[in-house]
Amino acid sequence: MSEGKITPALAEAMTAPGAPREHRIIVKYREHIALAARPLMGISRVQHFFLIPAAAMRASAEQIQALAADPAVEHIWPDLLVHTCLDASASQIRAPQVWAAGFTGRDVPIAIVDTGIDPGHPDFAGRIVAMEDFTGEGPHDNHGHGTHVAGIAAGAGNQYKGIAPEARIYSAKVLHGDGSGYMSEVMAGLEWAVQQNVRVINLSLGGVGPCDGTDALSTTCDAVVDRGIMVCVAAGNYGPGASTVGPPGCARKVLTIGAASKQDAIANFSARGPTSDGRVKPDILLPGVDIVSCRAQGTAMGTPVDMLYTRASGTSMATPHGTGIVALLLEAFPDLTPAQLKERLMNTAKNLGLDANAQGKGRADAYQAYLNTPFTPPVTPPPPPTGCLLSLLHLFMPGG
Amino acid sequence: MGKIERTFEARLQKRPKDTVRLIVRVAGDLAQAQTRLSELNVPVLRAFQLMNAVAISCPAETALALLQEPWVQAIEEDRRVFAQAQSKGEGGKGDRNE
Repeated sequence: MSEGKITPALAEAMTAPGAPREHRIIVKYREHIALAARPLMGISRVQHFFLIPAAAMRASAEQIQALAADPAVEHIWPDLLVHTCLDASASQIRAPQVWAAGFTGRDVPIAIVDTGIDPGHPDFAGRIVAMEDFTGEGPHDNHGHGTHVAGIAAGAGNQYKGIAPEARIYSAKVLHGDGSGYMSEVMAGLEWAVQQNVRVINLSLGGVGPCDGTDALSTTCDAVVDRGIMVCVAAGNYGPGASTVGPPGCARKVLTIGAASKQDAIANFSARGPTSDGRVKPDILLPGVDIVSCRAQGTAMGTPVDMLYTRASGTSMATPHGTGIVALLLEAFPDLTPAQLKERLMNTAKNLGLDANAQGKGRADAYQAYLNTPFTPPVTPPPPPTGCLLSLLHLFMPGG
Repeated sequence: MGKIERTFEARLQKRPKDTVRLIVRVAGDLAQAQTRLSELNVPVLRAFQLMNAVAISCPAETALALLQEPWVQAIEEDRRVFAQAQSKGEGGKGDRNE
């Protein structure tokens, strides 16, 4: 009776494209089983735990199936890499599962078109490739918004880790110290980002809706997509009324992102569609409520947690989750076009059962987008050790 | 669709001396358009290759006059956009940037 013993996440990892020959697993046995006496199917690298009847090991897919057939085996979990994540949102969208598959957005060039970035923040050390200013205030972040957004997309902190922590970062400062700017400044930042050959651009900004996608900024965004560059855009914080998505969120070819809570409810403020020409927007939701990320030195945006981090909400915070996922996918599948990326994120999203003009296709999921299969709800109980929470099993390991 | 949105045109007509920021979509050569704008004493703030346009700042009455230029495809307001973060949690007004 091996049915149901292998967690869905592990089963998916075993059959995923480019799956490794061996998987790190944790095998949970029934109580009062003499572990040393159990058949190990030829697996030699085994570490037994003494607080619970379990063992960590490396095994092939065939060996895992054989273990699952052992009546003494209760569950088999993937032994995921352990990280401390960006608040809870990285695990909510299952980014750690994509990291565990070997993809962290390594060297994927992303552009944050925003209020600038604090280049001295340790979570970006060595990865900011270029900074340009289109406001006349200098490229540094004198507001805090851009640094927070960049941290969600690509921060690499020990305490809070972004979605694509090894991406290369380009920063265009187009919003002033008061958090606003002109469309033309954003358009200039977009043109600069195109010249830098980035693969994905984050726009956590927007104007008041409704709109039909024919304004200059939205048109420019679509032209950027036509150049093969993915553009992730905030839906805006003007909800919950209908037709509140503003430019450039109403652009046709971009991925427009609304905000969800940790409980997968839509945020009240998240702007709703349709566009004024009747199209469904947003395209997806991502976490955007109470997100802790990087704090720019000398700024106080959001609710500061400490000197290096602050907590903020908004579709601004949801959008860089999308940019980070795109960076992960582009590392794994470099040939994906913006249209394919958008389709993947939409078609693999978790349907929250809301109106399409509130949720789009639902709350996007990094691991499901990586697998490119429709979202399947996780099976409970028992939950596998997540990649984000420090695995108690590791704490209990002898010498651990 | 005409060269300008009607409500925006009405705003320009109402306050012709006000300085306005505009995005002008150009039909044809962008450099020639910039030369012509220079002749009209209209400073070009930025030029855009991706959509063949310029950002300018000028009195509203000049903007209305530009509509007569054959190379002007469309004129729209260079609108402000805002960072989409709230300073408080969900449900809080925060800085909604409206």
